[in-house]
Amino acid sequence: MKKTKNRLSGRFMSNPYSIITLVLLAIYVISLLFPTLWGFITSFKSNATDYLSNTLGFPKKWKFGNYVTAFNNYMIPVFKNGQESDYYIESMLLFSVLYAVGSAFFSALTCCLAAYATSKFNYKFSKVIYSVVILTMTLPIVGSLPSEIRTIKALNLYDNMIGMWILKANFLGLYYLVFFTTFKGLPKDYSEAAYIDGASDFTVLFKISLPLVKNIFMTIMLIKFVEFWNDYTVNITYMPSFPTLAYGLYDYSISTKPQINNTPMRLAGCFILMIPVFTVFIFTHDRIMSNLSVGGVKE
Amino acid sequence: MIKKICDRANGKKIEDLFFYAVILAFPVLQFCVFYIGVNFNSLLLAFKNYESYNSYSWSGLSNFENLFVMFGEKTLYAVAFKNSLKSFVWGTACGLLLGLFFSYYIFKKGFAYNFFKVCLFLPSIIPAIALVVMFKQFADGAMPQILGKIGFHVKGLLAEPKLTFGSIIFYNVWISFGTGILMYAGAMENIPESIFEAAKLDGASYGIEFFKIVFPLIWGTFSTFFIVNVGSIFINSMNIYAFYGPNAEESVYTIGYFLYNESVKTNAYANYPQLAAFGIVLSLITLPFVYLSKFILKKIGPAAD
Repeated sequence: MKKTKNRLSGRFMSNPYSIITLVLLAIYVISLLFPTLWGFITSFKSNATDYLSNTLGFPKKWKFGNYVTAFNNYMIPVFKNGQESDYYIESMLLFSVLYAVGSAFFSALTCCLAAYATSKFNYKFSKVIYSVVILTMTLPIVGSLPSEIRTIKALNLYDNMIGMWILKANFLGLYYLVFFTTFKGLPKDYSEAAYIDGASDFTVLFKISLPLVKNIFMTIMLIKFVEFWNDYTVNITYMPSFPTLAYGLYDYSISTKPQINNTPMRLAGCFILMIPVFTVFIFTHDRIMSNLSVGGVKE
Repeated sequence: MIKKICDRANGKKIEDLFFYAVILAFPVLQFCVFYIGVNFNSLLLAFKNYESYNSYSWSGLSNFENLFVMFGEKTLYAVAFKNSLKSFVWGTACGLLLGLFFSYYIFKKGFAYNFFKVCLFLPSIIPAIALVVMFKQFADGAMPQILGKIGFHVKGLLAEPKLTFGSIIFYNVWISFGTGILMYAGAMENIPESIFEAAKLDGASYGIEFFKIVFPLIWGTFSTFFIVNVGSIFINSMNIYAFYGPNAEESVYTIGYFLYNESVKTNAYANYPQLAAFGIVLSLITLPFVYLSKFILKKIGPAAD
């Protein structure tokens, strides 16, 4: 079997289309990895004595202390109720975890529950919900941010972690369709047997259906987690008193503090933020990158 | 007996309805408040004027009239419009098409396809702000030195005004492949193996296989991406905020950046009605293009054959 696969792959590689694609992919990878490597090496340089005179080469002296300086300078002053509080990297990490995990969980759960109800119960309202999802995916609404900010302020959800979870917990978008087709495709045998045994709708949902889609749920939650973890605009737009790590880096990248206002220090700050995401990616890349389609997830 | 069965069936119907209502209560409420409510409020806001903190009064069409006056007076709008359209054209031409070819390579399990798949996906998981910082430092720090060695002397890819926006477009295409690759590859996996076997027996080359079999069969996914791209012409800020914060030069403004930047400024309340009016005008401009492209893609797509 493996031999056949290799032979097929070998045939594929001998045609001009694949060779051109391979060359383009190789250029892409070089353009991605070379700056990353350069950035990583540069983050260990001293700005005055090394980087300015030796921009492309290896550091003459590796300055691991850059990372300590970067770590200590991740600081956001927050003004609330007339008082200033300084938040350091530990607090930002906590806020990032709370925001990314909470928002990812509630947003995946809302999609999942809405898709379950509309795929299993053949009411007219289910068709309305399905059509709404399709319509909103193509309806270009521009410039509603001011109104959204006003609404969340009016509901006392502004600058509030739970408010962010509620705001992000919507069912609109592609992931609703992924859950919808998955639930539609689930075999009915288990749930019908459970109903005959007297199980309620809630029991069937929590004990049978949700465990069957747990892999898809985790994949969508992970994709959303990465999206929320990397979102640096949430603090600028909605939640100024809970600075996250991504916002910390944004602030760090425009800071004019003399200790960090140079290329090696900016890059050191950058790599500090990448470490947690890379760690998550190393352990979960198979799940995150499983081929997601509106027909579900291929494992 | 029949009455008992009917009662039980009715009881189950009521129980189902109760369950349905409970499960959908939050999603529907969230949608009503944060989609319908927000957009309705945005519509109302466009016909109001700022009075004092959080207080607005009716002003008829004055915000729309102001918009046309501002279009004539300020060059910023024209620049932002042009940049948004440029980003859409390049983003669609390079991002969507290259994504398609790369996905086919991965689907056919070409040399080192898993490695390429991870590399193409990597920019989707690295924080945008970290990538922008790295790109900025590389473009203005390392690139002038590298180009200098081969005889091209530039201040930097971002620092050189002629190259700035081109470099930003390149950056946005460069990081855009991740999700598209997964979706295209997922759609290709759904094509029945028997179709490829029949094509092979007929002696179809890989080029023919791609253009005559794979592309038509994943037309739906391609169309969806294209339509979403059209719909977000004026929403996509092209990461300008990550590059320049609130102080970008006028030459790199996009409509998405302008709207976002104006909405989150300190004391932006006074501007909200004007922004809402601008948003409505932009939505009305985009809407026909979205549905026109949907119609054209359906007409020329394989489903119509």
